[in-house]
Amino acid sequence: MLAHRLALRNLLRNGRRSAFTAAVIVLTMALLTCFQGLSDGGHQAMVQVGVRMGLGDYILSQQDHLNDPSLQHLIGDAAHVEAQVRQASQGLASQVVPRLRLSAMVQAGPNTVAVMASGVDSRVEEQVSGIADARAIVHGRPLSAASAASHHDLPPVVLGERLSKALDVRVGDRITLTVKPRDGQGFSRAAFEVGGIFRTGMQELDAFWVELPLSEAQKLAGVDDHISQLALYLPRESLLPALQTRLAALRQGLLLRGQSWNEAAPELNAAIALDAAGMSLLMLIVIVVVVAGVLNTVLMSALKRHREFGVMLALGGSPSLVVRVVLLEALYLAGFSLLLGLSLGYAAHLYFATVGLNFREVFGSNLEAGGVLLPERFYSSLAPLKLLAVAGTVLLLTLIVSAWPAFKSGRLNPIETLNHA
Amino acid sequence: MNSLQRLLARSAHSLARGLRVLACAIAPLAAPHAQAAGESSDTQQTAQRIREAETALRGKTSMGVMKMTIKRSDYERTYDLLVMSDDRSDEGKVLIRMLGPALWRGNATLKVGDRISFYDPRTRRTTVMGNSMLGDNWMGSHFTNDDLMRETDLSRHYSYEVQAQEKTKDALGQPVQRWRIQLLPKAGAPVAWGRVLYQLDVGEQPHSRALPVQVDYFRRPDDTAPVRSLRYSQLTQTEAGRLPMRMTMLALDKPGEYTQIDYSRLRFDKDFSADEFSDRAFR
Amino acid sequence: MSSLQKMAWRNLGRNRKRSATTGLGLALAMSLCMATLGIMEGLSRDLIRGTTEGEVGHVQIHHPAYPDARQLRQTLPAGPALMAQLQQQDGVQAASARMFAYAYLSHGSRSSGVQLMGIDPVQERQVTTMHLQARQGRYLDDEASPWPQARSLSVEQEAQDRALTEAAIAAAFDEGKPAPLQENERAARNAALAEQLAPRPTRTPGVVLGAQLAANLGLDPQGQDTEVQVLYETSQGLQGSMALHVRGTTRSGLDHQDRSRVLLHLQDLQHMLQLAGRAHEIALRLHDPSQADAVAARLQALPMEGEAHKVQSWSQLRPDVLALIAANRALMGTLVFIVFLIAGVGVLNTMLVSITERQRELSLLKALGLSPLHLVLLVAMETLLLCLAACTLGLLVGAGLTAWLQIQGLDVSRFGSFSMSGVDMAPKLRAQLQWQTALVPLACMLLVSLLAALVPAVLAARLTPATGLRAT
Repeated sequence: MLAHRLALRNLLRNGRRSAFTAAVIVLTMALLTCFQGLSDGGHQAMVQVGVRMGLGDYILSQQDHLNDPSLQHLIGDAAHVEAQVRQASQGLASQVVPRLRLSAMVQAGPNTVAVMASGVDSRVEEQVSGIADARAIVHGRPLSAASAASHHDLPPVVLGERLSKALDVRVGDRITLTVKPRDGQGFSRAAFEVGGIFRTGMQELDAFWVELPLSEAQKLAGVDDHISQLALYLPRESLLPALQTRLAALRQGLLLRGQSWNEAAPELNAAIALDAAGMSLLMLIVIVVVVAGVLNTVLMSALKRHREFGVMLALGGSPSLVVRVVLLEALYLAGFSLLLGLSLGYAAHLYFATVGLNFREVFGSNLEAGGVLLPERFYSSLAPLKLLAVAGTVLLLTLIVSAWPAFKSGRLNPIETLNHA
Repeated sequence: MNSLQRLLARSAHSLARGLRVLACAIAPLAAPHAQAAGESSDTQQTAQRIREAETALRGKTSMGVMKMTIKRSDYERTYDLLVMSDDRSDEGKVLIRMLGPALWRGNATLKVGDRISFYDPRTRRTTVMGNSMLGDNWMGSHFTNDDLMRETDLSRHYSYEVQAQEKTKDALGQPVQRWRIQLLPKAGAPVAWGRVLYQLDVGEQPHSRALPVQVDYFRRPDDTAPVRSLRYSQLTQTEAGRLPMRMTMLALDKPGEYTQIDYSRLRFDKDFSADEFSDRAFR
Repeated sequence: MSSLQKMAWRNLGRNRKRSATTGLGLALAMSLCMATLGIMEGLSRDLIRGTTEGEVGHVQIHHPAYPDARQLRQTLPAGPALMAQLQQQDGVQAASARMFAYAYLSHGSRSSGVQLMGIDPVQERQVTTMHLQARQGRYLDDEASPWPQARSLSVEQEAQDRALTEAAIAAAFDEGKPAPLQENERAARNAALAEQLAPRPTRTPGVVLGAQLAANLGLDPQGQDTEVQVLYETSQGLQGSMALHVRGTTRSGLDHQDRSRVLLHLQDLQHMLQLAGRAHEIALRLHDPSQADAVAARLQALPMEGEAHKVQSWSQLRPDVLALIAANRALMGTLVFIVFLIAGVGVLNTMLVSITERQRELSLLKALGLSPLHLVLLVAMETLLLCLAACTLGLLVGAGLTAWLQIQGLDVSRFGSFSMSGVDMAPKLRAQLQWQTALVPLACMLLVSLLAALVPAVLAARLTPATGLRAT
């Protein structure tokens, strides 16, 4: 008890020094917490980019479809399959989205371009995809709203800005889509109206991508109730393994194959992993610097108070008391600062978790090219375990670095110290 | 999104349409469906005239030698082609054999129903094309998908409005009535043009067929300048009657560019054997 | 001044432990800051490298309309003179020309639409790591197949050509079959003309297929040295077929490449497509990838034999990776800031303590006539000397640490697999040593230390000697 009281009193007595050291630790812990959250949140945002590019956290398709993505390998009885998948993934997946992919020729007047046509359920698609949602549309309207404003009474499509330039079309113009239907008799063609034009910033998409209503795509391809893929979206990427396990049995039963976003966008995956590694290393360096600072302080304070310790020893205090006092000082200081720092950091995290950070504001306008696929805001995401681990490490290291000065102080010779003044 | 798949689709369609362009130029398609009941007889008559004009250069079977000249901004080419078509059965058959110049001579493309095969005389190899090939327009010409489907389109997918009928003389000095018909796509029609202006001549004699004069294609219904213009000329008295022996497709959005087809010989209703539309016909 | 210096040194020497602690702390902060910045730089480079080395390159040049339309005839000049000119440009390390075409490959009864990619293996090796992709069998030969020179027809040959056309037209309408002898003779003459205009190679061109493509075509993965047939259309609108010899297969892990790509020699493809000396894409490797945008802008202004062209840097071609790098830099930069901050506060703390401790001593000096200015200078000098010593140590250690990280790297394979563009990246975190990584921390440290020292120094200078002397 005595040691505790002495420790606390010593800390309070050297207010400024304690405050400084505490400040260092508080600041570091707060910033570390905050940045841990932002970094993880940033990575999750990047994962979202990957997800949007691969168009889904987890994509189910007919087992041969990946090797040969033609109309021969579609998921049949789509409505039923979708219902089953939805049920199986309940609680995990936030969205289950059907799509039909077709290679098509789009023609407007004399101009023809070969494109990828994606038949989608516009209402749900807009919520998950970054390609033709409200943000991406620069002229006209997104698919779900376009049908309302049709000039020619034709079903709507949305296409990329570069494509619209290549075809020389405007919103409201008439185009045709021609595909080779599944049961290969000649060609199947239908007319559509350009309902909207999007710009994602990705060249490939803006120049060669067309979205149309799923039912129209099915009609065009001569397949009813067939789709190319079911895309599942998760609220958090960490749920992916659980989803994969949950769907494994159903998948096998229905002869489906699953592909996760990082298999579809492997480069981004590698980039993110590398980035995470770098971040961790930096955190480590920060911790080292903090601990060095603590060491510095503790050392100096211990060294400075030789006379004081000498008196304590002379008055009958045991060496272990001195050791305990020094250790407890360090512990209390570090502990209190850590707590305060953690709290401040957590408060900052909560703020960023709700309000979020605007990508462009922070990173400048040279991300224009990344365009719409980048999420507008990213949110802080904190793994409490990681954080506690960091805090625990700092505390432990503090103890360790305080050990030497503590023991050194304990072994002081009272006479010598008193003489030294 | 797969760039390859895109472009393969493009190629698939272009070959098929290329074949049918030439085939359609001199071969009949299945008889157009009867007009919907309830359409006025005026509309029916107009439709009939357009059909006549479209099928002027066709018969049940046809065989023709033509010279195709393609003029683009960076090159000009001329090909001599033999085109044979047989539409008597459900399976439309088309054989196109290149007669010149040297590099192309002997190349042959055969389309029987859905099956397209290609013969390369230099390797003596026949390749069956399922659903893909390369190339944009057929041999770089200006004929588009719409031209290929032209007959079906114009007689089936448009609504007609006769804008003018005037008495004039055709190129051979014969008195004709020139019709000017505006075609607008019917609701939901799978066509990529907003408006088509059709000019045809109907002779004074009671059973004379309509002959096409000029077809202008507009992008949007309210456009005033056409993007493509197909002009028929070189009206000649042949054994099958008066026929325009030259078709010129002008690309008006690219000044100076055109594709021109000159028929040097044309024969209809020859009784082809099945052999003549098979791989054996390649050699 | 020198007496101040001597005093400063001696003061430092008198409290060796404290000086040492502070100095070491500074040195540590310095070296770690350098390492941090080095890692940051190294990480960015690795990300760029992973993206660009696989196939993209740092800068790409196209015909202006090509990226959006991908028409066969939208080509760039790519002769030896131009490639040499490009390689001599400021900042450019190597250049590689590529050509693309879509074709139809068949083997036996199976066939598949493919993308032909013509590369010059020698050039390409210097720009990307495509040749390092997982492979079975052999890669492309450095040399293309030998193609005879194409020659245009002489006047009499042209007359011959016309005659042949006439004959063909006449024969076309004949009711009976033409005499086979005549036919053969004409065919032979035609073949000779065609061969002169567009000669065939004397050796079957070799190709490398994507692994999935080979499987789809029913090619035995072990049995290389198989022949496949390709059907393609040249830039002149001529359709032709040719035999190709499969040398090997690659697996990049990227779907569309493995399923549809066919690699062949650039010159072979140029001849096939009748586009000699042309290319669809020129990829450049730069000495310094971070200069990509600047180099791209410079190259845009370069007259490429008078032809229009469009130059793009990798960041325009892969904006998603650019976003990641920018985000990474921003976050790391802030972490570095934290490190500086902490170090600075540490120094401040130390110096404050030191000044407080020596109040008596400093007041004595003041009482003995040392002007306030000199007092401040004395303290500042101490700080400076300490900092200089510490920073020198820090520089050395930092340089050593960064160098080690650059050469050895830190194994981070437990974070995930690293395969970018089909090439396995060594899962190491590497640093990049640059003079900037030393300069920035150095300057910051000095600044921070000076500020940290001046504050207590000024405070000390304001003390009245009497008060100070009474302190303990």
